[in-house]
Amino acid sequence: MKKINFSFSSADIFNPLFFIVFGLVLLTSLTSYFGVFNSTNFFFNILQSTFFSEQVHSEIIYNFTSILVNSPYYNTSGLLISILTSYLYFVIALYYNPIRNNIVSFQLFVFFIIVSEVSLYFTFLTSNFFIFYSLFEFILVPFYFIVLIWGSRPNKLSASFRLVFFTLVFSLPLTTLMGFNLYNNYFSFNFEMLFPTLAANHIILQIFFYFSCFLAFAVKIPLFPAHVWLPEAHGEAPTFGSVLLAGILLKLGGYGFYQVFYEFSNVIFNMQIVNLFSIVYVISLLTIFYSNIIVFNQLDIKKTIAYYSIGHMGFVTLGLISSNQEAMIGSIIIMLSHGLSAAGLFFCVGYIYEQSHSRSIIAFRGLATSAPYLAIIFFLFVCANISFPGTSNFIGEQMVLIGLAKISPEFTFLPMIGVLLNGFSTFLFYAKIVFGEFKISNSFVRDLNYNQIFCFFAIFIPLTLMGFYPEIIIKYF
Amino acid sequence: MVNLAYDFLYYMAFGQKFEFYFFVMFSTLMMVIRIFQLVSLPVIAQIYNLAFFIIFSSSLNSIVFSNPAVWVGGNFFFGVDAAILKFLTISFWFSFYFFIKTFYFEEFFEKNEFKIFSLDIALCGALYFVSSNNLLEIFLGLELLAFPTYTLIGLEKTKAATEAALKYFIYSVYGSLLVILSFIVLFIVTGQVSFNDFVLFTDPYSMQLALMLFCTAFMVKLGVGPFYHWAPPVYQAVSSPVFIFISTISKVPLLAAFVYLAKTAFLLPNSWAISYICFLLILGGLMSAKDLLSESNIRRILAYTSNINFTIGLLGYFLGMFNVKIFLIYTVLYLVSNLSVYIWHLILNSNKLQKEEISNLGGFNKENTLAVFITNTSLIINSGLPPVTIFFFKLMAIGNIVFWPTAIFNLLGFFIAIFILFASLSSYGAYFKIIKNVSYRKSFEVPDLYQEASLNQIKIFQFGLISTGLSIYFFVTALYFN
Repeated sequence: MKKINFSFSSADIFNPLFFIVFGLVLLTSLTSYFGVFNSTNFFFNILQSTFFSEQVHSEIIYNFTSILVNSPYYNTSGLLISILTSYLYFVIALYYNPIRNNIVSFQLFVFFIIVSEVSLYFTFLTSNFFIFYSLFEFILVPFYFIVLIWGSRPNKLSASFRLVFFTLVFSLPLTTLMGFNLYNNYFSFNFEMLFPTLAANHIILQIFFYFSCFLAFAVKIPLFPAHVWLPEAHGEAPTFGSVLLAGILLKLGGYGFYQVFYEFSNVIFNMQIVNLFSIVYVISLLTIFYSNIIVFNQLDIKKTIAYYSIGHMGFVTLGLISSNQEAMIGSIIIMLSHGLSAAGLFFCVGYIYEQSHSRSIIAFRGLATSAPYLAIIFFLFVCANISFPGTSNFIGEQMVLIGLAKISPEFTFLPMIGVLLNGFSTFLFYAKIVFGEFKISNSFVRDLNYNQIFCFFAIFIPLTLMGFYPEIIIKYF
Repeated sequence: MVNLAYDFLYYMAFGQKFEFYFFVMFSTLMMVIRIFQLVSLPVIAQIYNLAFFIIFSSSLNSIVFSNPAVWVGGNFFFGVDAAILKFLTISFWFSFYFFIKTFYFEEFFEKNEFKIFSLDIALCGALYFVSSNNLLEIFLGLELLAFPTYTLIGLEKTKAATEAALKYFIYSVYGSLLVILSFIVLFIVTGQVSFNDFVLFTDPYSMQLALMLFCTAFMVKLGVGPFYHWAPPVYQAVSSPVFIFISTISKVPLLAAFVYLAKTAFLLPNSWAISYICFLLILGGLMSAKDLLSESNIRRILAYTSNINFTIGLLGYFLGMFNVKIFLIYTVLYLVSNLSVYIWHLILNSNKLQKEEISNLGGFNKENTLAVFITNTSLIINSGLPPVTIFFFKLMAIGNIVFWPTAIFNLLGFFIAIFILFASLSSYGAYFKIIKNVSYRKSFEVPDLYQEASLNQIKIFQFGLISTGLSIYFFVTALYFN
């Protein structure tokens, strides 16, 4: 075994990346605690008072303040996901702190990290649909650069392009509807008032709203036909890029689904006009099965993990569409735990790639002999990925299945097969890489150092904590 | 007062004689125009009377003749918007001189004085155009604006420039022809020449014909709709300052033409003329979106994207019951952000590298993170992605389209909006292509950017841009709070 240096010294604590990210974590936790995340209001108030004062109000038709008001209200899921965001950024800062001299153009790295972090906080903590939507699209820009500048293969050009344009194309209907709703007096952009006001509108507009939101969020989550950008982007991104993409960016779609569909599906159920549940149910099932079957043919290790993320997100949509509280809490727990477990897996795989410069499954055999610590930690995250009891993924999936069984027991049968498939394929993937006979011709992977082991456990401990004691999440709902 | 204040501030800040001379000249020109219009009204009216008597003696009635005040409109255009346009024209000119001074002082001012003369004439024409309310004055101002533009293009002395100048000349003459035709129709139908009086006449058929001709003419002049074909070769052929002048500053007064329509055509919503105009606009937007996909020259890309952005603004304007404020704010914000893109473009060309093709961009990533930052921010601001202020007004324009014709959700408007957003997406694509090449691609030669354009100059630029923006902001607030 190689010599291990304890590279985390006291001087490193005061480097810019660590310091800034830690400051942001503190700031956001404080602001969210006091519920005063209200600074966006300031800008829009100025805008309103300058361009649209009382004098010209009749010409403009709508009232600007009522659209862009951002009350101190925040909901639990948004707060939880924003805590996950701050935690992942913190872990990334810890992981990259000792090796910051190896990063190409470090200033730009810090800049994009901070831009993406701040806009993600705003996205999850705002109570305004308009601001949420704006930042939902803006967040593509920093991730575009993260994939483009720090990606490692020529294929990153098309991957980054897909990452941006899939979301933009599929959110076109939502953009037009947002424009329309600026003038619509019977529409509020506040999340609390979204459904009471939407119910006052015509049923065609409601259905349009439903489908345009569905398209926009289904690309971000992603669901089956619109998932094409995700394996590419995750595969070509650098390690921290794929960690952030899988850990937080997919949750934007999930959070949008939660805000728009959890309550709205109730309305649709009561109206019995269109059985929209069945459509989303079928698409989610297709997503789960497709992602877990296509993994058997995959040779790229990063793409494989990206496909597992797609499969997990299918469970999230299943839970959110079934419109009862158990399933909803279950899907939010899946989102949180997937954010951690996928981050850990991507860290492992990214480490393997940085060491060996290969992503092919065939290139690796017998990692357990050359890098035992890595093999152990990799196994822990694989267990989390298949939702092994004791990790919080298990709690989440069980709660989703219970919620589905509340509607009808038949609905739980097919997702359960999806769970089995997921477990089978993940263990096969792990066994291909880690076990077997180690040869000189195989790619060599050095073992982890203490800093990296510390980072991996920092990710894994909350998973087990939530797995053995889920009350810490559930009691807030 | 505004001009004097500008002169004073500029003199205090930089203390240079040259610019001070220019701005004294501009302000005096403006004052002369004002005085000319206010004091010598009867004289001008007599001359116009005579001219019109010779031309249209058979078709005029006696009431028009007896009242000379009708000829040269008594009140200047309509209050607030005219003031905004005047202010914008001046401030854009100001910033233009400011930019040129920092980068192109020697080339542009000292070698070729005829260019300065042309610019002065153009400013004169623009101000005349913006402050007029009268068919003849509008036409005069328009021609005063168009002729110096033609000479500015032609003065480049290259083959491409002469060809481009000819193209521009033919297109603008065609536009002027249509303007005259529309004015003739308006005059024959109403017997009036002041834009304020056209509201009284609601003869649907001929008014709509006039509206069609008028809009087509100004679309040709602006390079919007399917008549954009003069713009890319002209943009490509001219030098950078002239490029900036044609693509942003000369367009400000032309936008006033569409604001005029608010008075004339307000009583004709949902007419076939408006459908015709919207069809042209959508066609032009989609055509230029298609052209954008295979384009690799930066200037041509900027020509096509400006067409798409103006299309969105104008569609929002026509379908949204002539909502002047949103249209003005959107287009002005777009033009201001365009200026920031052109600053980047000037920096690119500052040491004669002439990087016009996308494939030549590159090597910034390792060399100069500041260049990457400026490029990317300016392009993203110009493209109008969500948190940028342009996005909100773009969204309002799109809301106007979906809201049309009545205040309920409209499927046709919905699909029009989606078509236009597809065009807008292709402009995003072009911008992202530039960004990709700047921030990723490696080049064989190492560009020493920012050698001539020092950091100080960039700071001055930013100061100029911010001051222009703030001045617009405060001016608008002052107008609306009163």
